[in-house]
Amino acid sequence: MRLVRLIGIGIALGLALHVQAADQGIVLAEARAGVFHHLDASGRNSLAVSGNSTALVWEDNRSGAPACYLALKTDAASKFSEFGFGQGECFEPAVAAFDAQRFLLIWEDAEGVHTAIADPTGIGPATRLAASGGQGNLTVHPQLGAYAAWSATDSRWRRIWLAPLQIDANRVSAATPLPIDPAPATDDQTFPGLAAGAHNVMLAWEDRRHGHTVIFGSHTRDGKNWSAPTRLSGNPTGRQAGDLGRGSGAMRPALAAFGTRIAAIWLDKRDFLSGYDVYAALSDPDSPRFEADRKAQDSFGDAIAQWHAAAAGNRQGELVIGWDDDRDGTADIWLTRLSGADYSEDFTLPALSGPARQSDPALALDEQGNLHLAWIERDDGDATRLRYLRWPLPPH
Amino acid sequence: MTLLDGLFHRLFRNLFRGLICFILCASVAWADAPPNYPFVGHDAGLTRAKAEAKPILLYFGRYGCAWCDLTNRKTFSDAGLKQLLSDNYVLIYVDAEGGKRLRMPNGERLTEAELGTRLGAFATPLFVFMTPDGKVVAKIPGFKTVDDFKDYDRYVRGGHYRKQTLLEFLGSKP
Repeated sequence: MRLVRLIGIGIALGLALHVQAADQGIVLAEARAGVFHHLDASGRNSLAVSGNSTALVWEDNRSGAPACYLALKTDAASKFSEFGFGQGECFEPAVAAFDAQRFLLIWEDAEGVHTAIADPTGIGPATRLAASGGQGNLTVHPQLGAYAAWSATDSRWRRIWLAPLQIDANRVSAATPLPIDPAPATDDQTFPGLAAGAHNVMLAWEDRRHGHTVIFGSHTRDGKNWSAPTRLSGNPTGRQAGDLGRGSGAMRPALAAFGTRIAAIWLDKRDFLSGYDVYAALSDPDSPRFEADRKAQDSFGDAIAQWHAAAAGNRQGELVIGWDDDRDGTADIWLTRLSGADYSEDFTLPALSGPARQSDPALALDEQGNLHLAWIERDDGDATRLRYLRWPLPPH
Repeated sequence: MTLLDGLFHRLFRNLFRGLICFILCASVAWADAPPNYPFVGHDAGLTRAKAEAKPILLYFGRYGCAWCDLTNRKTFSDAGLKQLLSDNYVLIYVDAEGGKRLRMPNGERLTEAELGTRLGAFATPLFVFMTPDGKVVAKIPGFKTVDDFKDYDRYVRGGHYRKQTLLEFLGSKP
């Protein structure tokens, strides 16, 4: 089936298997027994590009305990330079491009939630954002500034906290964090995703206040005032016959700015018999209002579960959504592109598919139209591999 | 303390208890682990199962899930089943969309939701029976009756999983 799909996609895109599709990319970390890599940043922002630099952050346990790592590479370089960060056990790092060669990092470690700025020489001093919490995310807007968001417990419930960041040389400072929703917490809010659009900064998160998990969002157009939270996901709330349950689930939102718009994507279980599907809602071109959501994957994936949905966009208006599913027997990474008003057929690339399990994609798009992908590959044994590929998007 | 103080004290205490009960009951009604069962978290459950040499029943449930709610009300409300499962299994509850960290028997760190990818979960509830050392012997999605669970118990504790799949076992029932 994979071959048929590849050929079909190749013909559809006029590619006949684009030469770069054969590129197997770079293996950042080879498989080692008992060592597991994790690309699980909130909003799946584990990968960022800035100018001709690429940054990837992940967690692995090569040292015997969970630790965070940053890998940096310029386009011309054949290898990444690697740096460790975090105090004690470190989890779920995320990254955002700051300027031509610098990247902002956020992570959770034994001392709380931290941020720092990194450049090709290394990582600057860590700034503590919160004494506890996790699931951090970041974005940088050229006019509205840099922001960090994370989730942390406030008495009983987790809430989403937001702090504007200031960068002075290699040091980051943060304003007092505030909950994105000032309403008293009545259930958990988790997994924030951030993106800087053309005219605003957008934040989305999981929200359980309706008795099931839905996706909410808020935005700022002036860097000071955030809109009242509004619901982005259309997974219905309401008890089923017999007064059962509270509604289907939607989880792990990710945001990507493309052109003058923002895409919010997530995993959605409104078709509750076949696992999660990848849903997306797109903002209007010139307003922060989101259109109704719809399924982004094609119908070949309908009968099975999708996992780890990620999105990437660029200012030229390209939007790519990726995830993994096992429609071909083992987990492979599948992609779709927004083409006009519609999503393309799902497609994969040779490096992203095959007998091993390829999963957990992290995506970024540069302004030249290169798609950067990092993912985890796993054979049958208890070990994983961390891989990276740059793939020039073919013309529509 | 005056009589009036005592009355106020008792009234406040009862109101507080009522409020706590309301909060807990409201949470339970939205489909979590069934109430009054000794469900524990993933890592604690694996440790306990190994120490006590007991098989594991892992309940993979989603917050707000209607079929989990139905299973809790129709099946797990049965006193006999509660006794059977509580006495003979280590009961683990995992939130299918949760972000809590778990540690697998091979040392890998996962989140609750990530466990769903490992289990191939496509629907909730998903019931996973495991050996005391965490080896999966049966994965059963969807609403199940008391009698279904009694069959699963015979399959697991009778050791039939060593020779037969669950479907083969159920198909061979007299």
